[in-house]
Amino acid sequence: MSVGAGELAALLGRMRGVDEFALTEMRRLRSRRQLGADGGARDDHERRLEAELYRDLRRGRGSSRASFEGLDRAQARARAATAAGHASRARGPSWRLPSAAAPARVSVSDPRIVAGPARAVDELVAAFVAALPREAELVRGFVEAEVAEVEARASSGFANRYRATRVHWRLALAVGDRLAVTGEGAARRLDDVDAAAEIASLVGRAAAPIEPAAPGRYDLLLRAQALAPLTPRWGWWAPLVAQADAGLVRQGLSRYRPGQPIHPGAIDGDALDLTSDGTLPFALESAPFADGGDPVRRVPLVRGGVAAGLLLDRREAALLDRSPNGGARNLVVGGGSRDPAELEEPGARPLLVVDDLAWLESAPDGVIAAGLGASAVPGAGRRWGGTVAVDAFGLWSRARMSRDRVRRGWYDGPAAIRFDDVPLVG
Amino acid sequence: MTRWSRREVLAALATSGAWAAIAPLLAGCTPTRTRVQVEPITDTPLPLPRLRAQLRELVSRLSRDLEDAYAAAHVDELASATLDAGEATLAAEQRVRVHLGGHRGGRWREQVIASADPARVRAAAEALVGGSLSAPRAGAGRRLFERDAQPAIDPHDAPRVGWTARLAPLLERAESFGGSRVVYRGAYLRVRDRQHVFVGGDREVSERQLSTRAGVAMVAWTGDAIATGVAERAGALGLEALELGDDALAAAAERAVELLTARAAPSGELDLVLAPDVAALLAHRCVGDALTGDLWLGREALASTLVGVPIASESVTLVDDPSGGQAFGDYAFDDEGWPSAPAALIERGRLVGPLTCRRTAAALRLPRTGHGRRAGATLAPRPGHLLLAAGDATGEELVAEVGRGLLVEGAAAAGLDARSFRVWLRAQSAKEIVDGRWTGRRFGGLTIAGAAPEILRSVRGVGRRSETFAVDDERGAPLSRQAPALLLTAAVHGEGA
Repeated sequence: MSVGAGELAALLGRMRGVDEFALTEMRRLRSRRQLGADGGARDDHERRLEAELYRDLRRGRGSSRASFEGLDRAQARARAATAAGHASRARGPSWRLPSAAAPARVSVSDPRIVAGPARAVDELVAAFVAALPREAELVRGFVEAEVAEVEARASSGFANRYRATRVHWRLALAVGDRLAVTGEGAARRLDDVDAAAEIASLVGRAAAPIEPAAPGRYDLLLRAQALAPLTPRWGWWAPLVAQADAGLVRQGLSRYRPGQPIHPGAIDGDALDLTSDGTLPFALESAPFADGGDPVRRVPLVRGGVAAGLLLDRREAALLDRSPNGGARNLVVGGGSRDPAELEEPGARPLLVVDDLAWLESAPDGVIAAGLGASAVPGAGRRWGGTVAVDAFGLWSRARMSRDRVRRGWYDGPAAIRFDDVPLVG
Repeated sequence: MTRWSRREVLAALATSGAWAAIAPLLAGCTPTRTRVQVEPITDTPLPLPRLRAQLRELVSRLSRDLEDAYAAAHVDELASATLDAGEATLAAEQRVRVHLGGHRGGRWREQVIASADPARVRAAAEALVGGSLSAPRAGAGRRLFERDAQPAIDPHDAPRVGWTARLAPLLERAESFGGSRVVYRGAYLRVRDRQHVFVGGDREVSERQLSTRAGVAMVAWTGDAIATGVAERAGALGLEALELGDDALAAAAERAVELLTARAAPSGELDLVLAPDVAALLAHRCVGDALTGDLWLGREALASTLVGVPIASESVTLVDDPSGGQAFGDYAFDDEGWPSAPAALIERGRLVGPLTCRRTAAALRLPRTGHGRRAGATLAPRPGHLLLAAGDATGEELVAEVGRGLLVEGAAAAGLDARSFRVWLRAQSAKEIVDGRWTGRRFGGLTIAGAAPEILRSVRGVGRRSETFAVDDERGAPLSRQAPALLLTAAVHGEGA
């Protein structure tokens, strides 16, 4: 009989050589249906039981992470003893677990998905199929629904659990003999999926051919799907999220620190406000607590173009004598006040309105490259594609943002953002 | 001599494109977690023979209710060690996945669990058929295929606590190369040891796959410029991967020091000699990734409409062949138990077809190529060992063909839009060539972008000497790519130009 979170917490609490611990147990059932010629169904049962063990030594605190999934009581004790031994050799600064804090009050579970993930998948597939116009075909893809039960316990006294649901889809849709376009999305609740809008967007993109735009400098107007692709998470904002890592800042590895502008030059657009918020109801990255029971909070990362708060796990929080905040979550982007029509006005360069991206790559040095999936010059009636490669920090110093907002996946912010003078490299 | 800590290296690389070169050293070594170790699970070894016997029995029972019933288990042990002047780290973890599946009514269904516990495996089988299991089907004779890795120094026989000590002689030898401008040297060893069992159809397959990388990363610094050089040995190896030659170490140090004088690269359409690492990145991320059966099945790749069409010059032949048994991405059987074999992707410039797994081959009515590979629960056709065929030109002959152009080195990143077959590729540095000769000028980062067929059709020279590079693909699976230098013409965009 394998140990669970409660039994493991009791075991670790009594062990010599373990001064503190924080553990997380996650059980997840993910039901998937493949669509089109690749049709089929799969249930993926995942279970994870991991603990971080801390050992206080004269020279500092040692830590070790170990997995206890599938172990019986005797095996778990042996594993913990080995891990405690390793912790004594893995030395770092001294710190103590912060006091147990209340989890965020946030709903992340849809009863309809909990009642039956496979049935939820069937409902969503039916909704997508019902929205298909006669000329369109779902060639390939998948729809999946998951129910996760998460429990965390720590020697600080924290003990809590929550249930989270999520639906996720990726669809390849073709119109006539043309190549298919793909769309991907996710939501916590079935009611948050607008299947008709998803299909309509795909049909619109699939119907028009895309031609390569000539290399040169352009003004880009990014719309919702291009601003907030499901993957990679945090898209255009990923370099800014990385710079808010408290450990990076503490060790002097960040480009800037709180209180400093995110770009050394003058701001030639709207000053950016960026907040990580894991407390938005039913948002994709919301949760009551993070691994080990760190409470999830709302954290301002950038205010008026100036770096603000830091993302703190339990260790970094303790070293700064502050409370952990659960790390990077949903991104709330503020600072937009422009009329949407103003953003579409012609400028010194050709304007490309970008509806979606084919891919996006973000490097640690802040270079972001993106393949434009479908872009248009307003009124020209043709679709263009190409590749842009830019320095993310410079990019955000010249952003102009619309006042109308959109919520999509991990993103809650302006429905459109314009960046002028962006190089399209091919 | 100045000596840097790993922290200082990370700080400097945070604002430099040179980070990609030493990624293997920094993987698992994030700035905030340098001292956290992940516990190896060797204290409770997995009873693989028992699991294999149970899978055999379950497939025999499932065959009564499902067509093409199968069972597979993958046990991945991932271990790594790093060593530099100030720090030693050791990490290991084990991942287990058991898959049970088959067809009913023409559609496949599958149950996946992250456990080898017999009761849970049986419960998964019952969930698959929606009730109690049938009696075993008699007489299901299967051909047995077993393949073990044959490393000279088996990682299982070398206790992991001693791995960092094995890195010490390599690091010590590296100290004698590069002089005082090399401010940091770090040695690394990464081993992926995979046990793979498949039972289904007419076969039972058991294979151990070893994918090992070992090397030294060097960082050179002038006070305001930073550059990196890496010497690496990778393959289906054990700890003998640590036996890296002095010539490789010297070349890595030389490269790091040379790059210190780089200036902003030019932009425009230029003749380019792509060094083997850049040519290999082009072959993989810009071409190979568009030639997978799942994208073709979804009609998501322009390449699927170009079969038989010359998408490259006649000197370009691209094959994926993981059957050699020596390379980092090699395997004898794919994750569906199908034997690996060479699969032609581009032959003398003409597009041949995609890599397939069982499902994509059936749906596309193409031959099965043995490229069904799993990442987590998902199975898809993916390359294992991509091989761009060598030509007959020496490096000097390729350079001599260039009027005004660049030798592009240091593969960094790439992107592909399969629907338009347009690609983007980033490299760390370039050397200037004018009238077939080096000018001695060094340039920094640049990107190459355009339509993949246009770039490939412009190839007019292929080097005779190939090099092999190891990478972990975007899903964490080992992949190797082998390529010679290429001479072609493409639009480049210099960073900071």
